[in-house]
Amino acid sequence: MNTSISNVPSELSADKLNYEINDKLIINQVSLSVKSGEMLFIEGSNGSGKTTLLRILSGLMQADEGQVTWNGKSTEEDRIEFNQQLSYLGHSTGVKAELSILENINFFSAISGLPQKENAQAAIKWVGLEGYENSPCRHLSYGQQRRIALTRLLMEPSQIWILDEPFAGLDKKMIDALEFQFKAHIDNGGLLILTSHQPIKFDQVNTTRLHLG
Amino acid sequence: MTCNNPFVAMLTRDLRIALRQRAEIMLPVIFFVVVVSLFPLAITPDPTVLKNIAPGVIWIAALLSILLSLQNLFRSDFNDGSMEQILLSPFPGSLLILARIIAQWCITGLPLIIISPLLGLLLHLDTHVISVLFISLLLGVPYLNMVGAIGVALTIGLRQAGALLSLLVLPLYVPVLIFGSNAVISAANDLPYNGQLLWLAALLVLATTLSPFVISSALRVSCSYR
Repeated sequence: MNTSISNVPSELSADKLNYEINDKLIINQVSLSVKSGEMLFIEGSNGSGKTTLLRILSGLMQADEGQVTWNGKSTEEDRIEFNQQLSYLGHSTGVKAELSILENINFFSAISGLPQKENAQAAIKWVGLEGYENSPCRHLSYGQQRRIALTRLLMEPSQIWILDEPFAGLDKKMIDALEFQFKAHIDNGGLLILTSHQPIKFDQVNTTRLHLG
Repeated sequence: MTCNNPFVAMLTRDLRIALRQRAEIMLPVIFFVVVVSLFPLAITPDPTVLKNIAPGVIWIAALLSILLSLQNLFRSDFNDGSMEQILLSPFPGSLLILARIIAQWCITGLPLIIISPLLGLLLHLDTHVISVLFISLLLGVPYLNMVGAIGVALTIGLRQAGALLSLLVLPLYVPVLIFGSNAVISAANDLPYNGQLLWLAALLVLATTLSPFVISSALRVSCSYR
């Protein structure tokens, strides 16, 4: 499987991030740094600010204080270049119920604005949904919809993967396939930032753990 | 069909979704036709009276019908997470939003404009007046779609956004309502109406060039406070 991405060594870092919701400091002086070939695993109980931190790192939210930098430049300044390197997967899948699987995948790929790494058919096969290409997504289960969103990881040639609970709703087989893909991504010089309540077993991967809350 | 141009992909996606939800897209146009056709029943079938009130009635019905259709704009994108993907696209957000609004105009505005000559006939307007009505709606309705979308983008994160949306958007709709209906009234009275139509065109150019940037920034703000 072709998983080549940009091989330029890169670094995503955040410096003293603060974020307040309803007078409560959810993100308190968080600094972090992830380099090519590394994984950042964010741990914490429910409501400890994991999702908020991921949204700040991806640029969907702005921190009250502190800044996120990509290769030394603020991500706010260089949004287009940063977005080209980013695949973000949040709680909501972004899958349109009215469209078929193939239409959804082609749309994701078109708005990423970049040539596809893999073709749609290979991505559908990877998530085990072959034969359902043209069925409307409203008939699919939550787990299957999550799988459609995951095809973006295979198709977008991005270096940074920011994933919020990527294993939610997936079965054992898919979790194994996804872990394999994570490892391949990191080995190829990618960066992986994820949250999960599930223990993750990567022995040979350079992992940093960040505990929130 | 696959397409790698993000603008066209956005446009075709929205049109495809709309075509698969026919009941929802028919609602604004049915509302428009029903409101206008109730006037002869409620007021009088007298052609001279109907002729006089027709420009205002048709324009108000078109405006309210667009306002009604705004409730669904961006709502599903916001709820299912596709808005996040749109905002994180390396392609300029304002262009994707413009595609979204053009699609919305094709779904809600265009049917109103196409059916308006028939409603003009129903209210006994003369042929040349109907052509002015048609042009005024052609220039004015896209403005209503774009400016309405600004209001939606600002209020999408709120739970009870309906009333606030009307309060925000209606004052901005008033100039178009005045120029639009006044152009038709002037045409009916054999007065020059080019000035009003040019004003509508100017407002449309202003809205087309500026609103996508405003909407995209407003959506970014709404998304960041989810």
